[in-house]
Amino acid sequence: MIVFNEALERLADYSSDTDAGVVICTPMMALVDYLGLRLTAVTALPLKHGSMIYGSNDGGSTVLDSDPIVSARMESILSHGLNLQRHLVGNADVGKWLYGPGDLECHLGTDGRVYALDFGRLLPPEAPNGLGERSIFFSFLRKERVLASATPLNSDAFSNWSAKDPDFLEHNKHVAAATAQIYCDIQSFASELMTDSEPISPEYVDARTMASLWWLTLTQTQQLG
Amino acid sequence: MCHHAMQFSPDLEAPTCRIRDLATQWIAELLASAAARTRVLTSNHLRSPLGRSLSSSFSRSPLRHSSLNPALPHPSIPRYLSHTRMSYEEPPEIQRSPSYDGGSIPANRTAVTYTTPLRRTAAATVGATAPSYDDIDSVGLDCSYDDEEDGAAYACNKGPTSLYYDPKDTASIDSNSYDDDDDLDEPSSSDIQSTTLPTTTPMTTQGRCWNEEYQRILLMPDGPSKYEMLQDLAFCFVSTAQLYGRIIIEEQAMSIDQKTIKPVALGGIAGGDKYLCHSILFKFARDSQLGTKWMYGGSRGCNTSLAIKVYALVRQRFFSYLMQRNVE
Repeated sequence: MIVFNEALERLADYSSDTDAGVVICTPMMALVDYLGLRLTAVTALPLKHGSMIYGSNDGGSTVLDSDPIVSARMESILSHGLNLQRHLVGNADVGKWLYGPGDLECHLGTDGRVYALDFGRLLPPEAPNGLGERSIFFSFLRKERVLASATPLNSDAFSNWSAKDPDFLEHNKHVAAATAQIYCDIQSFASELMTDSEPISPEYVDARTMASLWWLTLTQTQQLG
Repeated sequence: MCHHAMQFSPDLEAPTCRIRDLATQWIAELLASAAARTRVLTSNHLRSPLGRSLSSSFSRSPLRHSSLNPALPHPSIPRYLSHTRMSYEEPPEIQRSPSYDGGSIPANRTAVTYTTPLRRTAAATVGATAPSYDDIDSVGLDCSYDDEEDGAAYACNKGPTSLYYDPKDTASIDSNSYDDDDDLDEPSSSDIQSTTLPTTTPMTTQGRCWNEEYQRILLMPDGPSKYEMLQDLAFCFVSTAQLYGRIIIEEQAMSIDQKTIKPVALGGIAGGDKYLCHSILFKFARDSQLGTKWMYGGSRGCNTSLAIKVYALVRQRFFSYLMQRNVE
């Protein structure tokens, strides 16, 4: 659950800044691993029907962006804090221009707080690779890679959430370039590892790419030896 | 390889190594204590509940059981649960809060009809108190689902049976103020699948006000007291989540009427089955079927995405382990 931790840290950093207007609250979460199965435990939130003010909770049929204060706050968090691309979520007639993934919801709780939910897809996905086309729902870029990107990246890239966006293909190219850049950096890093120089590890090397790095290192060791 | 490994991990210097040793020792102690608890849980589990429920649950009505002998623990609370709690040094349900009632149920509790299928029935039987929440996670626009358009998000009603703590409503945290006068639904004789079960109120609507405490602590000024309180709260939350999460996982293969903690109809497909217990929402991390396809691309209902993540984590840990071995 690296994505959860990274994204939540980032979200918490920005959302806890009380000077910047409304505070976006996030629930407390825990993971329960037992007998090879996993549960996510989240605190129950004081929400009710109709409390959603931002995002979509029905697969994009209705997309809300009804509160300008929350909208501005989410823009500052997601755009300036996480380098996410503004894109059209939903259909062209009922869609809204949001910064985060379409299923990121903000609710106005009965206690007056604004809660953000469902940030599992907060970070943009890696471009689909050998894991299949559904890998965009569980294979995400790291926060450092998103922040290092020259262009903002779309959290809904390669998915039908933003398929109606006029720049959808362009956003996909940016995400694919960011994904490819990871493996280029790893390849050069693996080469530098075999020399006497002091390489600097790309900070966005994650568990998936670590395996590639290991493989590259072993391959080059065999070639040298 | 040794030299390169040290270059790869420049943080493996003396202070860091010290921290790493401490962390390793700490994790080893954690694992030892967790293993001890697991042994207690497993041994009690094997001893008491399954044999009883498998042998006699078909001939013994839960309601008759509790109404005939109120002194007995409720049959929906497995015996191993109470045994496990007694084996802990500090039982979690004692000093936490007046609303932390996990075991005992008053003899004059009302009963509602719990029927299957679940998603529609829970709202119909419990009425306004039923939480039904649409959170279709990670779903593309081309997918059409049985969305509950009129579902309420984490329904929050004021009153003694409220799911959530309202700071202005002191009655909502009083676990002893059961309202026995309403919410009594007669069992439907026409519904063959319906089973008379106790209301799920003790498991679903009681509990510590985790969110309220958490948000209040977060708003405190930075300082040692804030982080001590945060640490205490997180420890209690994780302990409670572990306790009930294990029960949910162990009973995942049972039918709904046999489960101690029953799933709730909060809507949503991508999040998997949802359970609400002591103000903690549990989501089962499983792949879910969308017509002919699976949500996360699996071929069966396994938790594919999490399996991949766990596999990746294992690879990462193994890799770092190899690096450390090379250094040493």
